[in-house]
Amino acid sequence: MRAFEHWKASDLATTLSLLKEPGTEAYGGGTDLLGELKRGIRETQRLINLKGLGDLARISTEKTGGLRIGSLCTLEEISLHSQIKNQYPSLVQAIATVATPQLRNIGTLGGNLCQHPRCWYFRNRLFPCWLKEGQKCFAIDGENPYHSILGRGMCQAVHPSDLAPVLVSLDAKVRIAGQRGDREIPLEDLYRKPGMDQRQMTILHPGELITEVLIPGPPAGSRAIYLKSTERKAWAFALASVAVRLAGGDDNNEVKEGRIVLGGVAPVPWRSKEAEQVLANRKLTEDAIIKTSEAALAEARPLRDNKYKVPLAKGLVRKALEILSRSK
Amino acid sequence: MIMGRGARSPNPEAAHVNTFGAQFVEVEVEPATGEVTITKLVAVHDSGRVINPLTLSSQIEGGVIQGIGHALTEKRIVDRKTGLVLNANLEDYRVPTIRDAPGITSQMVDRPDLRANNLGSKGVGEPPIIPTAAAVANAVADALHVRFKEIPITRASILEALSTKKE
Repeated sequence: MRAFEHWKASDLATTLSLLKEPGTEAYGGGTDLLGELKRGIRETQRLINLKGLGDLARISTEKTGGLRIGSLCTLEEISLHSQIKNQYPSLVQAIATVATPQLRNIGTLGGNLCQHPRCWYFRNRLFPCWLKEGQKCFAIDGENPYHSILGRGMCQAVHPSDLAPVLVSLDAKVRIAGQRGDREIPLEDLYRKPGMDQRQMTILHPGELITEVLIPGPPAGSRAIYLKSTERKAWAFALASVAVRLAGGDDNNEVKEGRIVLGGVAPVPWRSKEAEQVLANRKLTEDAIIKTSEAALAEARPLRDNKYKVPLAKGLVRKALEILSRSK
Repeated sequence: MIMGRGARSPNPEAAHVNTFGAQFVEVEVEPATGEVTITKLVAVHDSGRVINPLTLSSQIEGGVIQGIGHALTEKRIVDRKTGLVLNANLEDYRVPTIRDAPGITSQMVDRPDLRANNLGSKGVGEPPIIPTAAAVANAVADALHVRFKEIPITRASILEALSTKKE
């Protein structure tokens, strides 16, 4: 590991101007970035510890019923917040599946949303892969049981976050601070898949920082769930996961509008608008549930070793909707 | 003051010393996701005279949990092009966690085997590892009516087997 400078952030403006400098990285809990430095897959000249920015570690209620969660809140703090427990149970469910209690105690919301993939070619400094400015993706014709089946681009790695699919299903926005001021965008639009022309996983520019996540108040008749499938029962990233949020109609079993977001299957949190269309203004019958799960995976193009992810993700969508159909 | 000294004599050269045992597993399999949950595990081992029941049952439990990793989660992944091991770390090479371990009932037979040595006790470190994967595979086969001939039995192997069975 190369030597680097270590700075403690004291105020946001200074932090943003430092972040604009090349070779500068910011971290909250450091559970991802420090591991990358140790594995020798990332280099930095200057590291900024954000923990001093106390304003970004708050959770506040909006007048409209929604919540603002500071990006430096730890996952544990978020899952213990009483309003979050009541209003956004699927977020609490997702946090309970993340890593281990030790990691949830230091890992932050912002870091979770911006974490890098767990692909073993990316995480190994011996493979100069596309995400690491190399010539090619090694997973595409290598060992790829844990890689993408949907929306595959130049990099076959999946987005590893558990919180991102849930927050997209809850219609969350992120507030991004930059030197030229703040902007708020849908969380869904934060992500992009690495393509021919770029190797980033988010649209963040150098010198920009996520400061808050805004979740609107839940719509009438809202029901939500997060299900995650892992190779063992704790401390593992998703083989596939699904976040569903339904907004109800008048009838018990009628869905006015549903959001279905898959995790662990694509380079970005994968919102399936095809499945959402099938579900809109329908009763949650067995037939509707099966058709929705089929639509969610209709575009799947698996690799050599990950064909199982297609029935797995379908099974999760089906199971999530079955549970929700019984839960009102 | 009374002093005494003793030692366990070596195993005999003319005979094999074996620990005998039997293990039983009950599993639940979720067909939608291929998830296997071990709900019950019984391990009975005859390791001769029992000297310390607590350490003996701990040995059995440890061995069984190792066997569960063998059966369900542990696999070395080698990149076929370079020969590099891709999961040489405890993130990608998955040993079982406490959540993967079922309630384990262990029974000891406690029958001194004086042909083995003067103490009549025999080893029990490895024996509980050995039958675990076979018992898990048999239980999964009993649940799904599909035989698995490779371990670990993963989500991938179960979902692939189930989709072939349907066709």
